[in-house]
Amino acid sequence: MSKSETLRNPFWEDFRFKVQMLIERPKNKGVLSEEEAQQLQADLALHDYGRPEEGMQLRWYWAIDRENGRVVACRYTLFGPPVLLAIADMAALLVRNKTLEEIEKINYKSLEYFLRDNPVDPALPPERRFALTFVLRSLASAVAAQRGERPEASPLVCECAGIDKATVEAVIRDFDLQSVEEITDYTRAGAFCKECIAPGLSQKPREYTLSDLLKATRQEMEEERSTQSSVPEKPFKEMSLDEKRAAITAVIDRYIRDMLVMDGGDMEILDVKENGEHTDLYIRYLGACSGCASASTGTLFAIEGILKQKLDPNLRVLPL
Amino acid sequence: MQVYLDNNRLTQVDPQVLGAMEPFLKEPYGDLHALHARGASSRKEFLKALEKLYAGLHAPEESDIFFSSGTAENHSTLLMGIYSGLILTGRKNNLIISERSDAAMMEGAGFLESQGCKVHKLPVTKEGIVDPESLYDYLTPRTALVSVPMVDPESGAINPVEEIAEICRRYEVPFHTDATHALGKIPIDVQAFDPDLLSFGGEAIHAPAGIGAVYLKDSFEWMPTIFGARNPWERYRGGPLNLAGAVGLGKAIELASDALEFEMEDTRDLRDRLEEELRTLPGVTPLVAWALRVPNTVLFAVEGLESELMLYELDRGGVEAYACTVQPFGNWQRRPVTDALGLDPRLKHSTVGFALSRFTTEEEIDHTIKTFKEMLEYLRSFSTFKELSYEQK
Repeated sequence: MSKSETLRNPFWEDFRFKVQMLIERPKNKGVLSEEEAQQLQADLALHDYGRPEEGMQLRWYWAIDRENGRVVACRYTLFGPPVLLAIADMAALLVRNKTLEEIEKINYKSLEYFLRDNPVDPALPPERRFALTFVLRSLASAVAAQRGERPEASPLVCECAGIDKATVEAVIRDFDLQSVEEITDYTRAGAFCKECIAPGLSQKPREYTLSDLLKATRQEMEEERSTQSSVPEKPFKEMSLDEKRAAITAVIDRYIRDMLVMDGGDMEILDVKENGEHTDLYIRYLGACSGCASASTGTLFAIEGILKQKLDPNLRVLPL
Repeated sequence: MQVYLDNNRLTQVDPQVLGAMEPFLKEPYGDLHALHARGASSRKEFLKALEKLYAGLHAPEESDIFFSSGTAENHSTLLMGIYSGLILTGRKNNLIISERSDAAMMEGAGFLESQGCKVHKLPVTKEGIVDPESLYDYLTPRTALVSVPMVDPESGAINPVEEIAEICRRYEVPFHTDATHALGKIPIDVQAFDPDLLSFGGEAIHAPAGIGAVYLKDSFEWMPTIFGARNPWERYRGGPLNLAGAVGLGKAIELASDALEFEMEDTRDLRDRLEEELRTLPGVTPLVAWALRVPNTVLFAVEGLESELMLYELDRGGVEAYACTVQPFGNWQRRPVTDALGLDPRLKHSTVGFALSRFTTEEEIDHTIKTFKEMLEYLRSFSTFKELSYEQK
């Protein structure tokens, strides 16, 4: 352990301001009644996720507009630690005025970003990340239930925290996890009786353990990586126009689109042109972004900044 | 108002204890081994403190008491001694502890288990205590030690150590008990129940943390693991001693045993008031029968509310309480106390406890009751509890 690791304090008193504020003054908590939904000309949808015996439970109340399918009001009740309260409150805020497709796009990165005090410092200490992934799973499960989908049942790995095999594999892939402790940070699997961590820790034989799953999933990831056709590892300047276009699309999908979708907007690439030593990117704003005052200032600078940093300083973004 | 009700973890240092310790913290003092006047006065104070420990435990003439650094050291040294003295030599290979022993005992037992020793964990019954009869299931001629704490610090349940000691004596197995949470709460007389070992730390009896002591019956062979003894008082544990702490612990034991009767009566009254007020609220159940509990502790299961969120809200209202099941920083046992007591598994993460001390006042209890009620109303306004059953009330 390093000095900064040793001096780190994961307890309440060192929670960030925004998280603390959300815990102490949550704005979207509570119940949404059938009458309230009627007044909004919406249908009330209830969805439960988690169980008290596993330590966390969330019940979503969504009022879904009959015409455009947007969630016009969102509330929740919960059973869980303070940090879950903060995250659920932020998630409720983000869910509002979104369609199910847009809710589906809320991911770890975007939700965590909205919980941050400032863009650089992570919102939560590693030990508390489990609440964030729990809220995301609850959203995904609520969306699936709305569509009438029934997710395939996956065998349980950790009975104490109610974490199944699919979830463990998903977090290992999504966050590129290297150790069992990290799985515990992200899911709380293995935090309680510890029998699921490795074979031999439990009295009765177990079908799956976290360390086995970690090993198997990492091996699969390695294999996939080696078979994948790799994008040419050359500087942006030397790429052909098609390669440039692909690289720009990749950066936008990975770093930019979520940010816009979160505010109900989006963007599309119209064209990529070479203009002397510059590369010009023509885009069109969609949804809430089109007509937004920030689209030609702050948002544009942010998009351009990210592209310049990730690809090439001679890139220009021109919204049409 | 700030109310401290986490006295089973750490207690405030009594002003009288602090007074006794002060000379050793403020003024120069001599080492126990030194040949000069300061050394002599240190020895005098040290021996007085040791004598107070003998008196406080009612220890017989032919017994040993020595100071250590607290519970974790006591348990680690004990287990390592058992390991090197009895298990490595092949004389014994079996250990019996309570399933609700403290972390040091559990981890140490885990180490012994990894070295090929068989460790049995005595289950806790629905009453929250260890059943002495269950010992018969595990005792063998090769049992090296039985260790059961006198009091469970989370639920406050008092284990029947007299009967367990009796069975161990009959089968000639050494019996160890941890009295950390019993001292100053229930009378302790080692001559009456005659354990082979009794150990405790000072943090729960208004002495500072980081000092403890071990009582050894004459016949018990203690193997030190902290070397460097220079005089007879250090033969079981080496090193220059925490003299201020030792003097403080002596004073704390004296105070605890002198005032045990009437002070615990007051504490019990306050605790009962808290318990009576809170148990009438819907979905709030005290755990472990009243008669089986130490007078300062009450642990509740609160339907539909998570422990950590309750602690957060209570803390905001100025009440510092504890819970059994706070993750990821709590001391999670393999089988949580709610399961052992046979409660609904939905209550596993819903415990909150209050441990009083002799410094707790009536106003503080009033404030606690008020804060708890507010907390309950506020948190249940957005808890998934609403759909749970109210049947019990």
